[in-house]
Amino acid sequence: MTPNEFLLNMGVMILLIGCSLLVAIGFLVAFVFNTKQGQFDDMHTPSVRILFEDKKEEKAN
Amino acid sequence: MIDQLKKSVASTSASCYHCGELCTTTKIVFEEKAFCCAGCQSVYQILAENNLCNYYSITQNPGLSQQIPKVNTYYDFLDEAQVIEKFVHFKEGALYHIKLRIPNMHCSSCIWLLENLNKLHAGIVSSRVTFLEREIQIVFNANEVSLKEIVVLLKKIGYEPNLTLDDLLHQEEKKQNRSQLYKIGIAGFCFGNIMMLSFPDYFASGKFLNDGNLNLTFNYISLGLSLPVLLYCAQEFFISSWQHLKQRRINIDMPIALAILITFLVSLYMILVQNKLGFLDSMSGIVFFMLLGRFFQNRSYHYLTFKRSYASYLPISVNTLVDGNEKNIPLTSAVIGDEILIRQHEVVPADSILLDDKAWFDYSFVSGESNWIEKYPNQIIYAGAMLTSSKAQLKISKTPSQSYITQLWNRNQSEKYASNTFFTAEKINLYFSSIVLLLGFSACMYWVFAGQAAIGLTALVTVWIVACPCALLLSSTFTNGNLLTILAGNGMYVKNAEVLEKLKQANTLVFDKTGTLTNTHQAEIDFIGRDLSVQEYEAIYALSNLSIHPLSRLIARFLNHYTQHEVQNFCLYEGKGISGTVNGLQVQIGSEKWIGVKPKLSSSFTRVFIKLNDEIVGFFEIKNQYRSNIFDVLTKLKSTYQLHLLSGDNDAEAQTLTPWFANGKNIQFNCLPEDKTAYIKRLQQAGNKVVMIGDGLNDANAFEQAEAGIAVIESEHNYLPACDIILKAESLSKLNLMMNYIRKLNVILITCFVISIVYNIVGLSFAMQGKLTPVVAAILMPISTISIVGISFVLSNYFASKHKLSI
Repeated sequence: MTPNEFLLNMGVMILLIGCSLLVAIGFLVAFVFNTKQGQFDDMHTPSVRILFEDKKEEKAN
Repeated sequence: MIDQLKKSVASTSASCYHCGELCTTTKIVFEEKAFCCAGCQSVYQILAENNLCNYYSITQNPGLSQQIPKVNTYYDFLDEAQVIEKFVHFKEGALYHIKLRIPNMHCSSCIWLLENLNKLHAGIVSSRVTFLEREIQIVFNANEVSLKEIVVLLKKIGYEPNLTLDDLLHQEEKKQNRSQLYKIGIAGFCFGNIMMLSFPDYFASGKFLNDGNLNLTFNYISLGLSLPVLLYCAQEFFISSWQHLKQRRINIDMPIALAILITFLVSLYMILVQNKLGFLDSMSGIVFFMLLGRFFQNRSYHYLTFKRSYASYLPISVNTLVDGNEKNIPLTSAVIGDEILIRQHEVVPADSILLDDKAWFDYSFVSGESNWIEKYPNQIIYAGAMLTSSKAQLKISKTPSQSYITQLWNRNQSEKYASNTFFTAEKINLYFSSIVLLLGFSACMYWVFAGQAAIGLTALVTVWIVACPCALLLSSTFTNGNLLTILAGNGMYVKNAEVLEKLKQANTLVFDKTGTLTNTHQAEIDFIGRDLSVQEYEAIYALSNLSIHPLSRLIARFLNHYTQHEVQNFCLYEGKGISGTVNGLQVQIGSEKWIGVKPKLSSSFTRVFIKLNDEIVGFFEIKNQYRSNIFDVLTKLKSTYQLHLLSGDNDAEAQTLTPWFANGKNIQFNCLPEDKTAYIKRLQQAGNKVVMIGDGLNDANAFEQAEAGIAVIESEHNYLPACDIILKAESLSKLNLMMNYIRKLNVILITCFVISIVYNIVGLSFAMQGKLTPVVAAILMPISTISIVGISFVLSNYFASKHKLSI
């Protein structure tokens, strides 16, 4: 391996690490942002709410 | 004089369509559906008119009984701009966003109904429920509906919001909860990425990245990622151990903080000086898993409503008198010297001086005693007292935050510290940490003397990491938390793990009779005497409604279809009866001796006599109804526990009860609250561990005296007295199962303890030989933790199903 090739390899590695970290940080920021918005304040009600059927009476008619 | 004129009592087994309670005293049939009371029926009617009957199809009988007479509440203060402002979070023109706490919501039907409030009133734009917090967020148009109207509407459909000072101070908790989530998120992110960066190191032990630069880059990125974990996520461990250290105490957080710090420092040294990847992955892993464990532990406490502060007893607003005019202001802006007006059943918001000639106060909120106290001008009335006479004028002498009840609350909080049990974190810390520290040092010494200092250092660090006692600590906190959750699911709400420990050790159970063994709401009542006119019944109803005595309450409930009138000259004669004037009619309700009837041969039923304008018109005969299955439960408990019965009533029913209480030796009738306390004290002096089971109102002192107090309550939203455990009345039939289940706690804890000890011994033996690489430590750590948690979960659920408890 010539020094040049080696630098290239290593540079790619470091670039990849940087990219993956950036992607991960993106998700972390999304998580923090969503938490701030209050999406995780209630972890129970949505699980019940999703099961409600809307307009049951109208169907019966 | 006394004819047998029984009032017809519809006895039927139909259960109420709204609340599911058996219709015993009255039964109303409306649209082919049975209702137990007018209250339940009117709720149904409102919902039916608005096409909201889906409420009844989501869960069966989702409503709450409306039978218990509700205290009249004045909502006028909700029209005051200052008060509204306190509730409104957000305003968009006429659209107001408010948040209310509704302790009554309990099932998915409740969520459905409360989220469809807009169908009940056009002015309500939308509503959204946060179930675990028992909170509802309502957006409404202030031009079409007022806050007061919304609250009244909620009360009408059976969901009365809780309007106390505490609810205004509620906001802060939320933020704390969120910061916990941030910490978990960030710790998880850093942990995952550091682990990824450590992978090459795990598999090739560094050879693969022999070249300095790449290795260096990886190490420094890891170091950078570990900083937020150390400085932000792990903050609470350092802060709490520092606080305890200042008080010369050791707590759970200390070995964790120590392990985190040492791991970080050693890693820092290795990265900067030796150019090696340290143990940063383990460090962030510890933090991540510990935070996660705590999060789940806190979540299980959400079900409990013990987290009440003194502020939850105090009202939000107060009526002040300015130049003779009533003005409603928020309590927070009341100052010393303000003259205030309190109506019947309102709570005194701050220590004050009485200005009126005479007034009656009920101090049960403060002292737990349900006795009423008469007060005279210039006497101090402590905050938390409830006015029982009709109106009173007071002058505030201390601000709410300096009041007696506040100090009482703060004192009680700090007293709840002492405990001495085998599995307390403190002992684990003390023994375990010192052993681990010692082992680490000796292993290190051994290698240093053997001439291999490098291995010595690895051994020292890996011993400390791998033997981090978190598996041990987690097993007890998690098992306790899981047990509390399972018990809560079965209707027993235990304050905390320490109380669980006390229940486990108990060998003596002391029962209260009225309201505990018997059902206060389901007694059979007859009026025996001459025919009474409607006015006379109304007068009796009005007077009996004023007292909180169980018998008086029963009569009030029996007559609750009559209209309420105002009572003048109300007087209470402790232990004897009550008197007052209603529309010119003088009414006396009380015991036979006090009323002036010659005592007859003792009857097997409780009788309450009525005197109207000097004429003894008859008596109410009350037959206690025992709770269903109560005798089965007593029989089963008898084999394990020593049972005692303390009753404030007469010995009318002694015969029925003797078989379960050592043939009558352990029964004491006509007990005053002091007698109960003294009796329990005697039992304790004889070396017994006593659990008191009562209905909460007049048993508060006995609860405090006993090792643990169980309050049996009819519905979850009742006033919660000073007790350690709340037991739903219908769950009393499962008491024996639950007590047996609690006694299994040790089996679960010991199993987890043994397994984690095995883990630790295996881990330690490798670590001390210096053979443990970061990869093994990093994998062993979470695996041991997760498997311990899993085992504790499986075991506690297994025992629960074995004891026929619902999971």
